[in-house]
Amino acid sequence: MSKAILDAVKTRLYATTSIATALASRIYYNSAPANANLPLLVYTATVRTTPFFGAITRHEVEIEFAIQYNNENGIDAYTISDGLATAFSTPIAVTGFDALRGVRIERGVPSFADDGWTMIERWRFVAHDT
Amino acid sequence: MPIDTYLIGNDGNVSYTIGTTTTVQTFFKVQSFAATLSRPVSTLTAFGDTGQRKRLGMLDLTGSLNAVVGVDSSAGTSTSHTNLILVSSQDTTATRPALSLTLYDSTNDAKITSNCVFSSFAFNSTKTGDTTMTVNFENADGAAPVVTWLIS
Repeated sequence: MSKAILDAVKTRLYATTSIATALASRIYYNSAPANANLPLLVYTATVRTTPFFGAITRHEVEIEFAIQYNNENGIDAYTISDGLATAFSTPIAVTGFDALRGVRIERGVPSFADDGWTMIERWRFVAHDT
Repeated sequence: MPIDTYLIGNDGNVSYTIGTTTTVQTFFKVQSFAATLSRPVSTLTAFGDTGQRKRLGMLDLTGSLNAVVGVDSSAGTSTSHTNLILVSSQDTTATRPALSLTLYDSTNDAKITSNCVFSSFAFNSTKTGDTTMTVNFENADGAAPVVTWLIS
């Protein structure tokens, strides 16, 4: 995984008002800190690289977003989901790559567990290094 | 000397130039290829022979490239650019791709080179996947494909 790709995703998430405002910027990679307030967003990424002849490599990044809300506002997870669609509706510039472009491949529904709501959705991003 | 290197795909390379284009792979980037060097076989068996008498004809190269398609997003659009190989009849040397299929990419390569035509472009695009293309090629020059090999 290129750090530049992760940095670009993080920057885009924070720059999307509908996400950052609703979550009070509680956007975390991999895991949230202990006792963090809700709502929050945790995302994790996996990457598969495919080299081509001619010295370019395709980076296929799958990111799982876990939207977490308290027990009173589970339906608001859809607001964040819509915010993700806004955030990734245009390509993201990434240093050293053509661009990072994403498409949603799985949209979840809120599920209740551990006294809170969680909704998980997955996005597929692709970038080619240049 | 016996074989000391057994090849894997990553040892190789694919490149092509079109006319005076010096930048290779301006249109698509190749992920894999399949190529066949072949000669037609003519049967010349005559009365009196007790076995099949055969001769080989001229060397040919055919195959396909599996590639991801690219554009220059900062360039203007064109339907007639000389390097728009998709619609070119590739009749002249200037518009005909010079293809190099390298199986061992080093100072001394093992490779097949040929002045080809790209005879078909099969596009495949999936909304949640990739935009890829399969390009069929075949030798199109009066000269045979050139095979370079590391051999003692």
